Amino acid sequence: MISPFHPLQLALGPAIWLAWFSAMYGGLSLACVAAPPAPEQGAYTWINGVLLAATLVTTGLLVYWTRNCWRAPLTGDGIERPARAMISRVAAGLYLVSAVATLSVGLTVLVLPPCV
Amino acid sequence: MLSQLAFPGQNILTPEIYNQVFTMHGTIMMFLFAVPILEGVALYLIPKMIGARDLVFPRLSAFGYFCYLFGGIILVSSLVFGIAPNSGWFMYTPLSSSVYSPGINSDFWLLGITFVEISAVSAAVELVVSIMRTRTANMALQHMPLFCWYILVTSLMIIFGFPPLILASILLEVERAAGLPFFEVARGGDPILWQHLFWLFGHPEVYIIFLPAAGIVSTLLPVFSQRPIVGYRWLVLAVITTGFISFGLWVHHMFTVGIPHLAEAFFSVASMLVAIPTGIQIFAWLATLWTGRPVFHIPMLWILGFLVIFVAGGLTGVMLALVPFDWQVHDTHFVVAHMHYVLVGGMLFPLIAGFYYWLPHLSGRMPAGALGRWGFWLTFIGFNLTFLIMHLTGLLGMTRRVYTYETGLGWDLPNLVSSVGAFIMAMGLVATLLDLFLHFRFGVRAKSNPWNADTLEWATDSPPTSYNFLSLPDGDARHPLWDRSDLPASMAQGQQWLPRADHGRRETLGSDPVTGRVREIIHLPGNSWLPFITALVLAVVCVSLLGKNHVVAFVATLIGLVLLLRWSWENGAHPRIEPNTSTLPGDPPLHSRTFDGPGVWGMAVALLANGALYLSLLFGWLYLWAVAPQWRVPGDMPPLAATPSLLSGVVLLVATVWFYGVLRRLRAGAVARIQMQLWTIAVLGLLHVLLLAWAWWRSNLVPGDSAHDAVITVMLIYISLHSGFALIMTIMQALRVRLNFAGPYELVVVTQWWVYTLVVYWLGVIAILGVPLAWGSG
Repeated sequence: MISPFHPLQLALGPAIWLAWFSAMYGGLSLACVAAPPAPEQGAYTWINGVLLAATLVTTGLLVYWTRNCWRAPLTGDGIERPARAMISRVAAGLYLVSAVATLSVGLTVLVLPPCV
Repeated sequence: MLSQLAFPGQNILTPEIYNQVFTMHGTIMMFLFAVPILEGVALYLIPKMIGARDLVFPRLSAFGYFCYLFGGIILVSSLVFGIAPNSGWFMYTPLSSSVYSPGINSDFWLLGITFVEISAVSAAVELVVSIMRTRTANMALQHMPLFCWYILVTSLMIIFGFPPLILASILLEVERAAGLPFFEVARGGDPILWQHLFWLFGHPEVYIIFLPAAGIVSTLLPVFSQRPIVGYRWLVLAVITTGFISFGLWVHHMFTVGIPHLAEAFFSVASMLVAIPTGIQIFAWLATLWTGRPVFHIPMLWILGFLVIFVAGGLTGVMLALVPFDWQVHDTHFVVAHMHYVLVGGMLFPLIAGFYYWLPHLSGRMPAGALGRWGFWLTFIGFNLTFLIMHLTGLLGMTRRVYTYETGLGWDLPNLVSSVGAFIMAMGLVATLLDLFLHFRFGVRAKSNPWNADTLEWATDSPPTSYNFLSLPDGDARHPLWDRSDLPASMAQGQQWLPRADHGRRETLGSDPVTGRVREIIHLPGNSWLPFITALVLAVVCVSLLGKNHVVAFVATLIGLVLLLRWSWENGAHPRIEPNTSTLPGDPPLHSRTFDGPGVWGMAVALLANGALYLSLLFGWLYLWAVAPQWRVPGDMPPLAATPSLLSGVVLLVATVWFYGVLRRLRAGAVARIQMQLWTIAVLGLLHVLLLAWAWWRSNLVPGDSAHDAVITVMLIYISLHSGFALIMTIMQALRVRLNFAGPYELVVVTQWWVYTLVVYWLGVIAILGVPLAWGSG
């Protein structure tokens, strides 16, 4: 993982959310074209299972990175120190927001059938 | 339009003219007003707020402005001639296709908007690099004015958000003009692809318009509350979150096209999530007001109007995010009302607040009182009368884009009220504009920093000089003018950075993107006719394509390319640009003597936009392959000859790695035989292009027959253009080395282009040759 103080951290959390979101939508669309399960199966299908697993893994990673950024010990002196604090704290918030967003969107697979 | 709808059965406008008017209303407001005016405000303010003398690429800004001007004139002229676009501002196919819109109405939109979008993307590149690299000394990220954060995020959204629409417009224009099918079902295309590409742009667009306006609010509220904003970091977090989430909402405009409920649920939840960062901002603003001592000057009236109207618009937005509700009100006046609450409340009200606030900065005079207040109240009352009642009209079932309606449906009274409200609102806006104009003549002379603001733009003269500051300040505080009241005087006396002017250069500081530490002196380019002439030539391309004169269009395109290359030639360390290279002892180096000039950043950001366009094309390819109802792969042969295309890719790889190696050696101080190596790389580049041409020639593509061949053709054109430019740029670098005026950072710029070309080439080959293998032949 790149340093918690790297400015890219300000984009990584939501970027991962966006990549996960696109993969969920794209994957669902492709899976429904390639091998749609029977509608009567409801939400308990292999597609929803894969999507749920992807959701939980992504959420877990985002929470882990939240913790990493929040707990990163501050180093550097002069004007570097507050700049680093700004990046790591805001990045931690962004990772957390992304984790919440991932879980909120992803949990819909528990209640809705995939291809109907 | 609202006069036409005031009573049932009216004929003030014919159906055809009504179609043109509502299409152009949306088009002008979104593409010619909202985005350009906000970018214009940002281009004016950002250098002053970050303590710079100018934007980092002033010629690019000039080019963007003239593209906007000429593109706008072309687009609006269609209205004057009665042949304006008439398919709605989102130009859905097949309505906008040549079958159902055979005239040139749709062409005006497709060509004009693409032309104008050059302007939006140019300004975005300019703003990103200016904010990242030209902040004044020690202005670290945590010291940046909030407005800069908003504009940085907005500009990056433009970089990623506009290319899908640029691509879609190009594809539809090519379909209409040359018959290549992309959106036509019978030949393997899909009109829903247009909707995806359009809304991939269209939804972020809403936030591209809202965020700068919210930046104005976050700038003005602390000043008129006379206290720092509450929750600076929370606001930064909210702005970045909004920027990203807004790219995950586009399908909520397509809930009725027939996609699985689960996919709709993804977008429904994401659409509700975006309310959270917006809520954070609203609570931060309210907390600032609550804990401050608000002063209700005219700008604050507009800010309060914004808060009321935008919150209402946001609430109906959450309602529309619910799929069943959206199905009920889709394409009704409810959506029109919601959209105006969000856009007028979220953008126009803060914009006018900003105008009033920064007027003294621009004119040196204060706004007057009475007329401005009349303007606000008439606009506020008129707006709510028009659009609050329009929600009801929509709930009663009135669809949008109808030029008239029958009486007895319950729509008569709400439509009449909306029309009356529109006239009141128009009077309010006229009063406001009158007040703004009159103040230039009758406004009281403004004292220095009349609102007691905290940001650096108020340290300039009012009106400001062309160079903004005589010397550049230290930016090591979030509220420089509140913390150091003597700062403007000290800057004006030349006691800060870069006071010297006897070298004849236009200079500003180049700083570290995170800490703001000074790294180099950026030497800004001077005046030039090239941006104007190049934009004019592109206007000729646009007009000749409208007139179907393809020879003139082709010749003008070539002239345009020559002009752009000429522009790039006299740049960097060219002696005509930089006759005097001396700096004082202890000063940082000139950027042209470093490996990290602004051009490197400009190229990187421009390539992000370019990459977004290419990814959109790849998305289109995969989408059609998987979803298009009549997709077919013509013939049994692979669409591209494998051997020459793979060979071409290998040569490209060798050339790119070699170019990168030259750069590495130059960084290490080895400057011997660079020219010879560049010539050799150019030969490799030529070989790559020839092999690509061979692969294309052997491919037997018939682009007019199927979407399959049409998309591959576009991909090959795209790749060929990039390969060709890599070759030309390498030749130009070799010539510059020969003439002894190549700066080191120029090689970094060209290296990025080579690497990008390599990536898109191999992605293209994998998409063309690999997808059929993985997916089967459809």
